[in-house]
Amino acid sequence: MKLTDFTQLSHPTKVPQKPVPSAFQDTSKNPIEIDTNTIKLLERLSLVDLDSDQALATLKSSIQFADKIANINTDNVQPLYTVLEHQQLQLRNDQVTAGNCREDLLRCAKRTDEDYYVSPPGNIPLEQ
Amino acid sequence: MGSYMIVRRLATQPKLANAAKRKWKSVVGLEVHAQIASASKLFSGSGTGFGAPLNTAVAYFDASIPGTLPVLNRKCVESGIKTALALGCRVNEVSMFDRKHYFYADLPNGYQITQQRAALANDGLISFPVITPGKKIYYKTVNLLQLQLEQDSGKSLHDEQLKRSLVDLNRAGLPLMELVFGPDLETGEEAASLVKELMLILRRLQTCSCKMEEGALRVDANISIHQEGDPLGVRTEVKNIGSVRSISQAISYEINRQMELVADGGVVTNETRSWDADKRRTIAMRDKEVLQDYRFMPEPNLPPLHVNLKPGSRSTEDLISVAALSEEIPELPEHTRQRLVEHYKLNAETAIILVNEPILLEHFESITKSLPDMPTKVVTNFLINDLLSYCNKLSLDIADCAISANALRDVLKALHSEQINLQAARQLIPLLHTNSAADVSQLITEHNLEQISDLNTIEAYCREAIANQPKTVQQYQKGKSKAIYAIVGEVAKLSAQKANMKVVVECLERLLKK
Repeated sequence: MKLTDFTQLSHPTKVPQKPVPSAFQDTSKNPIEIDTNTIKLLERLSLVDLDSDQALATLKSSIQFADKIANINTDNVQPLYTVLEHQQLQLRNDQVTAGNCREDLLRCAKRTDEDYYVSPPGNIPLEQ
Repeated sequence: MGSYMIVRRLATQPKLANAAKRKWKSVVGLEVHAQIASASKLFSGSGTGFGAPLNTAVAYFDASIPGTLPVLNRKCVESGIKTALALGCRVNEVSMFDRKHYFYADLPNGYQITQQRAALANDGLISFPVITPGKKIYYKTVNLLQLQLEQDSGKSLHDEQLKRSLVDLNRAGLPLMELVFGPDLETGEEAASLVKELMLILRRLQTCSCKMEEGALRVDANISIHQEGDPLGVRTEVKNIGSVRSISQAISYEINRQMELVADGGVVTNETRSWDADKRRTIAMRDKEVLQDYRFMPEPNLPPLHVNLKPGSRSTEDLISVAALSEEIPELPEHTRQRLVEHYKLNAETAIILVNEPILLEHFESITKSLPDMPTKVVTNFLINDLLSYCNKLSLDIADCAISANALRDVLKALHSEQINLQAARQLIPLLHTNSAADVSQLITEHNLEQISDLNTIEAYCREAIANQPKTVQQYQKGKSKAIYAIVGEVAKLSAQKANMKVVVECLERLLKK
């Protein structure tokens, strides 16, 4: 099998081809402590199993890598949420143009009953 | 004030003797979700019809089908701005959308698009009359901290037996305005009055149907208690309040529950509770036992929303002018009250009652228009003391009363022209309610309600009454002028309430002077 040679680009790219020295502080040695509750929360939110040592090491190194941004001086800098900041949000007239596609949509669901989607029980009062 | 009364009542119990040394105060803040009246959803082109067949008012976007993107409904922005202006808000030139993450089956995306960092509008104010039965009406002013646009979630039906939820996505993506009010209220009645005023305003603006029974307006209440001088206590949030009446009941119950809990040495925990209207109590909910992490993040699919704040500007295809919308704001309830007081010389309380029951106001305005000679006091007395009380007695919402403004006008016309008296007018209310198509003059003839003004007939009744009440006549002739009303009452009885009382009084005075 022939490996793709990534040094041979068929299109120009804006991504630097060599590592660029940055002014960011090196945080790769920062000690990372994660308590078990946080790990459980992350597992639940991400659906990633963090039980193995390797998974935990990857998580720690990711945190170490991202720790850099904590040291950047952002005083008096407005956060940039989108590069489209100065664009005006497109508006739509209040007209019905979609919907009435129940069969299409219900077909995507694993379990349905009499035109309802069926799911595990959700938030209900304690004493019911 | 309700909270003060609760403290006083509890303070008489020995176990509370210590806790009640300083006055306990209750603090209530409301969050109101109002569904914006629109033909299509906030971000999709699906219809919004209430009661549409299950899962039919759902576009691919509302079901979170990959590849779909949100496109903002212009009318929803306009309605949000109008509401903000009517409530004295500062509309923000730039507002932004965020994702608020929940994991519920009725939220297919796993997040709700809302406005957290920069809302559509902030810093409004609402002043409203507080109506507590048996107490003097007073005005209260509450801060509106924020008004934001957001999506609604779908609806879940909980199937207890089979341990599952049934999900209908018709509501998913419906446009909502969330109004966050400051913790400026103290009692359930104040909260109910705030919501009532808000509903009047939204209905005038036609930005929300305010039908709580359809879920078009939902109220969550944050409630805490603290001792005077202390910082605010830990709050609970009461959800699932389904009617204006439930608002004051649920909040009063929850204030009481916290007072009693603390009095018994307990501690209020930050939790979400649900109002059970049947059992009239709040119950802890399983959810939100731990503080939720909503993982707010900017919605990458929606650039910021810009509006034009320049005075005198006009709206363009993709830029809404706030100034142009401000010209569309109709007369608001408080202005109507002032107008009624100034123009018709009504007293403040009458004006408040009329404005709070839009149908009464409509009747009043149409009746005074067609009968300009009619004293307004007669009209308001009849509408409030007779029509409204009749409906209240039947626990009937005045809006559901079938009597038309035309019928009421005919009744008042007959009353004013002395064709019938007030007794007969009162009798006509139930007759018209059961048979709304009936002709008033026909009803008067049919039920023999016509007033007797004929002098000879009345004189005969008066002579009979005088003969029946010799003692009262003596009292009157000795100078006790009020005694005449007992004789008038006798005439009313003899004439089956049909005698013209003005003529009766004149006639009696004449006869008794002799």
